[in-house]
Amino acid sequence: MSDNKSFLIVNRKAPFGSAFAKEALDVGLIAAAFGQKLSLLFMDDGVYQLLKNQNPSDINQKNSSQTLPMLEMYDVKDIYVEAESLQARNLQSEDLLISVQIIDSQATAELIDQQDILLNF
Amino acid sequence: MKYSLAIYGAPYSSQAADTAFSFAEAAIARGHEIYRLFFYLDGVHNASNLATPPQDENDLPARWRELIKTQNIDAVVCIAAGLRRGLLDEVEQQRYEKTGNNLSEGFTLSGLGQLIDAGTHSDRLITFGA
Amino acid sequence: MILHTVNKSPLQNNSLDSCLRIAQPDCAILLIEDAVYAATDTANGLISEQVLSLHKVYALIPDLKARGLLERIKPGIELVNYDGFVTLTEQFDSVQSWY
Repeated sequence: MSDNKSFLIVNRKAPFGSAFAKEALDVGLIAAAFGQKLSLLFMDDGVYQLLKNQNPSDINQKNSSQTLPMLEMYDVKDIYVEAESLQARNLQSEDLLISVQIIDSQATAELIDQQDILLNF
Repeated sequence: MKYSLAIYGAPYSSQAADTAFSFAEAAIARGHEIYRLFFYLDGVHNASNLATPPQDENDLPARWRELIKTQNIDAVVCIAAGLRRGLLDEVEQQRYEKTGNNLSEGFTLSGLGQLIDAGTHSDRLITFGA
Repeated sequence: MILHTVNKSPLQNNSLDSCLRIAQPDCAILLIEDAVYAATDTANGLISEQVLSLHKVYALIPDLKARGLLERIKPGIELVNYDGFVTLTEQFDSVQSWY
């Protein structure tokens, strides 16, 4: 199935308030399991998906952030976070659950431009 | 060119699915092929055969059925997203012992792999989000 | 090169703002659905002269017409139908959907 096209999943939404965060991660895990060349980008409210200490038990939802470390098991290492989105939300890399590459808006634009297939969430 | 459309909005709740439909029609009119329509998130509701809008309103689920049939389009509903939101075919109705099924003719329930496949086999994959 | 589509009203949602932060020169931006409000000629709208100097900005006619905006378009924004939407997707390598 793979023609060696590169996939980029763009995550822009906060977790829990809508289904986008969880269902985007499901796509990511499938793409990774199928051996696709996959990168993930978190920007805007999407950066909140990576925060430590999430605990949605009292709102009756699963904690998707716990599945993020699975990406590494599938060899998905290209996880990017837009610096401006972090700064606007007063967040630093120490606040995040997994190790990521923090890139500026220009590099974010180039990342998006370089990928063959964009999956927008 | 081969186009695949990823549709994430329910009919009537937002314009996403309507825009996707109009885009699909325009792409076909320009001679393109729709490789796959992939309904995910709330987009799965486009595949319900129980949708009953008033007669003077746009019946989008019916229009999808018609387009899929006349153009022989592969219309996939993500099974996980569909089940969660109450879109079932006969097989899933039996499996989960539910009182009914409502997946429109012409649509199939399948996995997220079909979205990935659509990406690898299309020239353009376009997301219509709500 | 990317075609960016935005579908949310600029004052209700930051999608257009983020799109403009990310969009590289020579990428095109297509305003659809509620984002067509950004195509109107307002004093401090996000689609500034500077934005128009960097990108071709398009707006979808059926959405403008629906919202009663056809007489209020900012000069410099090109209007297209769904056929034009498809044509734009032919001309650019991928579509980045902001919603």
